[in-house]
Amino acid sequence: MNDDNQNQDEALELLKKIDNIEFVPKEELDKMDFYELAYYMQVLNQLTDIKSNEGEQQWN
Amino acid sequence: MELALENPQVAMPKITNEKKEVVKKLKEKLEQAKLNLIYVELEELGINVEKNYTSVAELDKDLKKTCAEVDYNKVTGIIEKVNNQLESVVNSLEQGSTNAFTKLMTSDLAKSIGKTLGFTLAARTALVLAPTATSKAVVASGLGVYSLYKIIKNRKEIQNVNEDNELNNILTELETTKDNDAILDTRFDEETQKEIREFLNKYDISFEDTGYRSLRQAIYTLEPEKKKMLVNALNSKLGRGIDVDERVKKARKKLNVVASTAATVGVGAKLGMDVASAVNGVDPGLVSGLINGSVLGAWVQNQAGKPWFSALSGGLGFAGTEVLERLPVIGNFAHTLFAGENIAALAAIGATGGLVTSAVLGVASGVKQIVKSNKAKKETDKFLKLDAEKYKEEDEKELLLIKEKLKESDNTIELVIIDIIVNYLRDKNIVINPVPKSVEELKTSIEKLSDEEKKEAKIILTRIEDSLNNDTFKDKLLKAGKISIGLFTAGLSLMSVYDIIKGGVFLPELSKQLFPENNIYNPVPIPDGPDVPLTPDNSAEYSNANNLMEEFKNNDNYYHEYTGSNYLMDTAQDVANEAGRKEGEGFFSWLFRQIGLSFRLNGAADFAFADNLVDKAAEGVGIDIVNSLTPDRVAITNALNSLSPDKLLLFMRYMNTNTATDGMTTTIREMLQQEAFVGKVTDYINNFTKIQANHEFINDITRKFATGLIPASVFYTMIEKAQKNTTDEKYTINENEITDEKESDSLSM
Repeated sequence: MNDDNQNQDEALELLKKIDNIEFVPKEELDKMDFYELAYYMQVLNQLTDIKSNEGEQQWN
Repeated sequence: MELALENPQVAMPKITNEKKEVVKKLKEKLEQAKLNLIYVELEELGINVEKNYTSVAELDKDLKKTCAEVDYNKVTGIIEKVNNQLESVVNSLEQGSTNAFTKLMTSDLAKSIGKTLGFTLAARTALVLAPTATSKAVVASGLGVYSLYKIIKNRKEIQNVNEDNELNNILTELETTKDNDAILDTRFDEETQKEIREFLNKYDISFEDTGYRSLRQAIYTLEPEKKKMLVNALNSKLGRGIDVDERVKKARKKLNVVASTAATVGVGAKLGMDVASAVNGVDPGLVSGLINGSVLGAWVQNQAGKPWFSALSGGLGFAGTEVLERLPVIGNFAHTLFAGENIAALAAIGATGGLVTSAVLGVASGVKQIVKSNKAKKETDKFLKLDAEKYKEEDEKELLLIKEKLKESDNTIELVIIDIIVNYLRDKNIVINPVPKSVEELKTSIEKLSDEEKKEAKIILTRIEDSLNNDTFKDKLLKAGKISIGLFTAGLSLMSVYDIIKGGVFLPELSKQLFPENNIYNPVPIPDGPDVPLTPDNSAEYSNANNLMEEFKNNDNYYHEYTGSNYLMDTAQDVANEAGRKEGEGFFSWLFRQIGLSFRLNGAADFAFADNLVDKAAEGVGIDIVNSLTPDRVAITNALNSLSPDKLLLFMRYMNTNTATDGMTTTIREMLQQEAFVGKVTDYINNFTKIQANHEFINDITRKFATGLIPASVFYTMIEKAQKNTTDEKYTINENEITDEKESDSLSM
């Protein structure tokens, strides 16, 4: 049970952090090459998924 | 995703806008990325072009004019391949990560996953095959201890790698002469080289001195303590003012993070089991999903929103990403991943939560690390390129000399065996440096060890020494060793795969045959019921016992309504019809479809088994009763009393469902309601339930644990692979160097 609570706390903490996320500054973005951008895009996709799950859960 | 966008509470315009911006930039850079990949491929074909094109079409047009037809056909293939790869990467990124699986399974990464999966499946086989709860515990603890050993070993290796890497970085800096950002030279001058040779000589470090490359090899492979001494001496001689201690200290600081991360990976095994249990709790049908899904990521996508999803992404994700993000290995790991076609593999890692920690750590800093490591890689590339160009002639001479020397010694197999010994000793914390080049050298090195270390060394040396004197034996040993390890692991893995496809019935059956005594998969023994005394009663009269049997047969639900066997046959037929690989169906889609079918078949088999058991027992009850019935109450009582508890239970059930109202049936029904019979059956049910529950529990836990190992160990291996990349340092110059046999060792859990 403790593990469950801890996991839930971590998940909530994670969601809070996503709300206050710090994006890569514009000037850094310009300097990134294709692969770096692809990696970054993947992180953003991941965040979108997490937020979507949160949305779906709240919606239900 | 749409739901989230429509709901203002969870809207995420910030991320969506950022994604639009990144996709725009990705598309801007796409053409150049394609060109870069095409240049590399063309170079491999021996076709050199100016690297100043701005579009693939333009390059294609020029190559069409200049290349011979046969070459141009290859060029067209390359262009098409790169176009497709990168276009699909961008598309998959733009649409989210759902297409990542196919990419993942065709990438290099899949190879390491496949390898882990092989070993994990082998471990699963061992665990399921173990016949008793105790032996299962022994196997499980064996696996646990082995995993722990790997974790501890890893921690040590990471520590060494970290410190060693930093010293290597400083050595490279010392080797490099720069004017602002431009690299002027990549090697130590003659005088410094002489001093390095003196240093090595002073510490009895011998190496095959064929020139600068061999010297470089010798100093980069020094043990950390000596390397640090040399680095300090060179730093002071060259007046570079590098704070070596501080740099190494900083590298050590990273170790704490690494250590806790390595421990977290250990938690992965527990987590794997938790996840497996959680999945079973939510929906037992998803167990197959766990097996494929954890590896594929796609399943997690499908299951997004389930309560345990956050636990999965928070846990496994942490274990995976913490290492990927924070360790110095990221450069190498990213390098592998960033090889164009592998980029989409990130999507799959991300799907299992691997990238979640980027968010926890702060996206910007995570990405900055990647950028930084890429810059470091570019710097190294520049160094190596200049080094190869500037000293081309010198290198060619040296390589010839190296080849000559190797030809002279021709001790390839000896070197392999020495390598095994040295690695064995390294595992025991006994470092032999430099690596000996002959058994004689090895013996000399061993003589310098402490008594206790010598003892350890001699154990392995004695075992191998004899075989070194026999060439045929050596060859056979090497071949047989490699093949048998491969076959053994492959065999066990295939057994597990077969077991999974068979819905988990194959290995228990095999276990029963291999270990027939006290096997946990044997039917639960039925407890003996108490001896029930009965009061004889001769008052009732009965006739026509055969009628009872007929009635029993005609009305018995167990015979006619529970059509488990038919159901199993129908299902088996369906499964057989679906077993083939359909046209155009990929191997993995086929495999996972089969796993789904096998679960269906397993369900039907369970049902039929239970049904069949009831059938047989009912038949037995019927015959016993009919054969023993005589028209008096004593005989009936004796017959009932002679039934084993399970048959009595079955018979009671039968009588409860039997609607006949003739005198005999009614009397039997009344007699069965006597306390003695009810008590006997109740005791039986209680005991049986208790034993069965324990039995099921152990089997269930075994399966969950074994299945849970799979996702945990996949992550573990990815991390190991990353570390291995780090140890496969970029300064390996001896092209004839023997590749080690660590691969099988890198399989974990």
